[in-house]
Amino acid sequence: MSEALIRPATVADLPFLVEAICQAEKGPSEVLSYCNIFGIDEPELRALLSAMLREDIEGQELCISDFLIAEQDGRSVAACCAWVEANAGVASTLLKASVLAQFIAPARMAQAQQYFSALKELYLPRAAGAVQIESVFVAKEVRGRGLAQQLITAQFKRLRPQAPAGVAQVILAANNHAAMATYTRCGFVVVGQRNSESQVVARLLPSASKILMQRPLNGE
Amino acid sequence: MTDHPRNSEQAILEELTPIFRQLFQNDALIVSSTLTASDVEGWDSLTHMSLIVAVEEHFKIKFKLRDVVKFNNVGDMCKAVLASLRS
Repeated sequence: MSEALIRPATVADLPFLVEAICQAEKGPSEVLSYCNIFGIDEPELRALLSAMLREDIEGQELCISDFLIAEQDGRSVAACCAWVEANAGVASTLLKASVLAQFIAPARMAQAQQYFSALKELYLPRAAGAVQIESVFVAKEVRGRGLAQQLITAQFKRLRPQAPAGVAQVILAANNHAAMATYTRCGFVVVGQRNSESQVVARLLPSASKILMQRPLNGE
Repeated sequence: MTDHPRNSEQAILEELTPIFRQLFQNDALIVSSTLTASDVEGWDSLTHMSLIVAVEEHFKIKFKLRDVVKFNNVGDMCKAVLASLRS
């Protein structure tokens, strides 16, 4: 087994990026919140994610240019998305909302609006100027080799000069213990949590609790 | 609904006002070109999606994604509406 090559993602990585986003979203569950909220099946979601990624809108999680890939023996085996929050003045949540509004059919969007007030309970704010980590995924057969940590470190190196807040953050589902352990090894600590008692939220999302973890950018 | 043509930012703002007031459930909301998401309670990612869809439906337009992601304030939205109406 050769050393992993860490490189920027390209259009050729689209199928792997879609897989990474879906698996990172599911975590230990089989729940894809996009499917539940917008009433679409997984194949349709994958096609939409591919189209949204192709737009390459930087500063949010559905963007090819925000991903780094770990490649081993010529094969993509791990991925990590990162950006500097509100680097161009617009919050990542609004950028992503704009992308979703462009691609989700209006009728499905109208249907989804019934869930919005319940979903707001889990809102955790991202700090402007902080590096945001999302959609970290490592293929099963190469887990335990430190690839997630290598990718996160590479993202810090890439984005640190543009991140005046001097910290990195990640938001994850509270039931994703494996991801939490990885981020803890990378120096992140829990700085916030939101919980929902809503049955609607429990049905739509992989977990009714979300965690915000953070670490300083210096020293790595 | 305004009774003058949709050819100025002011005319668009007048039509946007009831949309914003209904969506954000605030009858006193003053919708100006300098208004931003951070000025309005409840303007988050979820209401942002609803807002885009509501504005597109009202004006029978479809924003270009490259324009929408550059909206820094309502004035930017007005300019995009005007551009769409003229195209």
